[in-house]
Amino acid sequence: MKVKKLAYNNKLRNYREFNYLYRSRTFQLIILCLFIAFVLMYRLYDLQVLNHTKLEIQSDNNRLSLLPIFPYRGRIFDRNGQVLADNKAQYELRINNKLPQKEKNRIIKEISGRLGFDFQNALKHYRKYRRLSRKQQTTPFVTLTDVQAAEFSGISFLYANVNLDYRIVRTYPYKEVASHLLGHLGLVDAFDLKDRKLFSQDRTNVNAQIKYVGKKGVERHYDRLLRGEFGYQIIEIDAGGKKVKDIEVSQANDGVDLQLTIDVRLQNYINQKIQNLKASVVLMDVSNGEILAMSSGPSYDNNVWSSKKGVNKLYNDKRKPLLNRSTHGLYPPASVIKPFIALAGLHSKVLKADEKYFAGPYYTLKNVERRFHDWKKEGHGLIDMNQAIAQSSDVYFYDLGFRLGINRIESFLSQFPFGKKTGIDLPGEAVGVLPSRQWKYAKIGKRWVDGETLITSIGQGFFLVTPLQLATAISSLANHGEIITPSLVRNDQQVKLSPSQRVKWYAESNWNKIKEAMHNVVSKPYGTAYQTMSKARYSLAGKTGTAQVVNLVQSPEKRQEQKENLIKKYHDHSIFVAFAPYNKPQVAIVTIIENGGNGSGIATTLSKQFLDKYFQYY
Amino acid sequence: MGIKNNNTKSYVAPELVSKGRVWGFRIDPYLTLFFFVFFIISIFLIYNPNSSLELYKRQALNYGISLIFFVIISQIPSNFVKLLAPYLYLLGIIMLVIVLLFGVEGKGAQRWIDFGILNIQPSEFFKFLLPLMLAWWFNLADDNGFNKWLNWIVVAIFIITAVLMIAVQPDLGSALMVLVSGLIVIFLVGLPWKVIIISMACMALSFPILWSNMYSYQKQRVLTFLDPYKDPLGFGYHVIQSTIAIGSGGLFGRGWLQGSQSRLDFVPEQHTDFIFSIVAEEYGFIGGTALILLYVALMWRGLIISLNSQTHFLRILGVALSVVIFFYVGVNIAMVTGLLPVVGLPLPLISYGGSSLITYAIILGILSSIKCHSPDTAKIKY
Repeated sequence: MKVKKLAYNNKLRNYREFNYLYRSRTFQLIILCLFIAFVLMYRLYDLQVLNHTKLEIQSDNNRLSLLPIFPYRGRIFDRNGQVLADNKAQYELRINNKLPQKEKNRIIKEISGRLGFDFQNALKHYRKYRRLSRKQQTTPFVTLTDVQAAEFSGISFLYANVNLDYRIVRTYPYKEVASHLLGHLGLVDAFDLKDRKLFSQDRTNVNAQIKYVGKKGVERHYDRLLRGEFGYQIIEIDAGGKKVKDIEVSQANDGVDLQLTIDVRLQNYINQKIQNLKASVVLMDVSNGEILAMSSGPSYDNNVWSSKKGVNKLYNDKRKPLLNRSTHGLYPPASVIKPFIALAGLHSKVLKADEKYFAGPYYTLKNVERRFHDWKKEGHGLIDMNQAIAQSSDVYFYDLGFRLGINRIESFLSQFPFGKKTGIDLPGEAVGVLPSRQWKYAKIGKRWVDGETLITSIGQGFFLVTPLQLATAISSLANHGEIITPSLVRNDQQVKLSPSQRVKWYAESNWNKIKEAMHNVVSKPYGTAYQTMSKARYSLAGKTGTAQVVNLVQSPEKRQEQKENLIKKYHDHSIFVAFAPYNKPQVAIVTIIENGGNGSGIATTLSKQFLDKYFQYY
Repeated sequence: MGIKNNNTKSYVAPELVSKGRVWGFRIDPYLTLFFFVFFIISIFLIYNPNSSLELYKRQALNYGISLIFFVIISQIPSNFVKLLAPYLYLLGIIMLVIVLLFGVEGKGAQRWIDFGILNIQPSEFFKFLLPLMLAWWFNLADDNGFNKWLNWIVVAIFIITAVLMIAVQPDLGSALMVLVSGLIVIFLVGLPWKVIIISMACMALSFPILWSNMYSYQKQRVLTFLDPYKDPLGFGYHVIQSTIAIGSGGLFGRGWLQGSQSRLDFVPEQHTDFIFSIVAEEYGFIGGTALILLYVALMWRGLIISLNSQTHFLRILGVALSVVIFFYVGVNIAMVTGLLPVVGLPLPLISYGGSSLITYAIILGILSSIKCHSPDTAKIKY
């Protein structure tokens, strides 16, 4: 009993010892757990209160995504509502990149059989885009027509790994007819980014989404108007990038549809005639400066920019089809400048219109050995101003030019858009050269000599103009001095056009005398354009010009021989300018055919055809 | 004998026994309350209208199964549990062997046994099996007065067997946590402080050896823990996204279902291991703290039950299990908040997943059983 009790007491003592140890250890564990709880709560405080702002921004960056909403690019119409530039959906089929190549080939072959496109071409197309699309999930392998696209959408359930995609492409239904003045779209490059007119000042994220801009012509000049305003959409996405919901939407403003002043019927007709020539034709409404047709040959298909091969071919073409000769081509005005020189003579009272002057075969200057020949070997004889313009006497204008002096010539001609921009709504128009003493000294570093005054007064030498400048000048002649800025867009739209200007007011009779002389060019038998133009059913006033490309030898006998041996490249440019009808001018025309020979030849012939066409419609 | 009877009577507190009944079952009402509170929280967090998976329904089913386990275990008298302890432990070890031989592979490790309708992860059960076994052993050693050192050696064998077998699956996270649960028991029965300090020093010294034996993905996890931004889209992604989620919650949170980080899948495993990021993102600092305090309260209830229980075995087991639950909570939240490297441990009673939930239901059941059967066992012992 005693032993039992001892054992029991022993156990009890053990129990008490255990109890003490157990309680203290439990207490220590509790302290540890509470410490852990405190550390965790402090960590939460650290993240959720102290670093809340920073982490919330990171969270927003994760979940919010900004998507651009593309505006619909404005279409371009001609003055009668024909579509010149349009947006079209282009359908393409894309195949999943993850498939093995064998499987891809099989699928492409199968679809090509069903839809009827060439399997080999599709493979080529696929290989072309494979590298470009390797970061995407799919690669395009064929472009479909609308019918094929509709056909495919009917059987699309059979091909889980192929999807029908579309993109909007800019198309030009008239192809090469107005390619130069319409321009085209291209990827934004570094040069475009510097162009302040192209982008709004604050380059926001949305602005950075602009991928294509107009590269030339109207597409370039009115790019922002046509492009419209990008919208954006802020959406919430999940970790996979899938849209969950909209947060904020700002709709895009579609681009403005532009109506051009171009009459595509005339443009088309002109283009057909000159598309294989190196030529430029400008047809301009003299009353308001609207360009009815502006064509440059050789022309090219505007839709070619989608293929690199075609573009390279254009770049390498020696005839320079990409050059818009109407605004960028520089030509000596040649005899076409003579009415203006005569006008300068009349206004400055150096010249009297009725006074007869003997125009021999050549003109000489004191102390200058060189003889300044007329184009006509035997000269024109005793002529007044009227005849001098109609027959295009060089010697008469050598004399007049000498008497006027280069300073007066330059200051008078500078009132017309010679040597400066006409202000047409096209990008990067060439300014040409209106020579003067200062110009020569600055550019060439030599002093002006009188001989140069003589050749300037017949529109040769340093003098260079663009066909558009000539057209503007001719229409101002028809308007008795009002210089109207040429425009491609009708004025009633939200487009700002530069206002017209006036040359100084001169006596009405002077203008009429010049116009009459130009009328004689086509109406009098001695006029240079009489043969072609006399049969015209409308009255007009015109002037021919023959621009020399190279300096010819002085003696007339050898000159003929040299001319015959000249290669085509150095043949004269054929120029004809006119406004019609003579009494009540409506339209001005400038036709320049490079290496076309005599001005009374091809340029006049073509101009007659163009004017005939014009009067058929108006 | 009369003394014992008197003693016993003085220990019996009838009101406690009667209070330990819910709907006629012997269950602790507080633990039952906790169980249902966690059930509601879990369902609210797992519910996601954007997902077509409807995980919350399956979680409700898991809770239903767990409730059955909870109630049944609670009905077993705790002395019976003591009798079963070595056999359960042996069963657990056998299951680990089966896992190694026939286990299903998942996430680069063999952790599962496929039973057709449900997969079982035996390492889960060692959360309570090891404390159970150790408590049983200490009780046995205490009763029979075993040699102290022999005692420690046997304990070490128990622990090391379990830990190693889990570690080679490989599941280092679970192995470490099982080790910790073993250590808690040892600490509780009075492992001398000097032994604790010496062994900690040894562990620190053996770290290089451990490091060289680690798998490369384990090394990566530790490295990215030190600097998650080293690999923001790879191993560091989990931690970065979950800290963003927690931080964006702020003081009051974004509101239910408004947590973009977790609801929109930026935080991976947001229903399982990283579910705490939803709590912190949608309910803010207030909600996160409240949840931690709720776990403290749960532990507190477990401790109260244990301290009021009558035998060495039950007291050790009860405290160990209560503390083990809280340790799992602590490690999970520390992992989600970027304080510890990412180890695949779910948040007790809230994370989606049947295996883990059933385990914690069993632990709660054991605690409840300690509470509801304690007085009777006291009658037998003293």
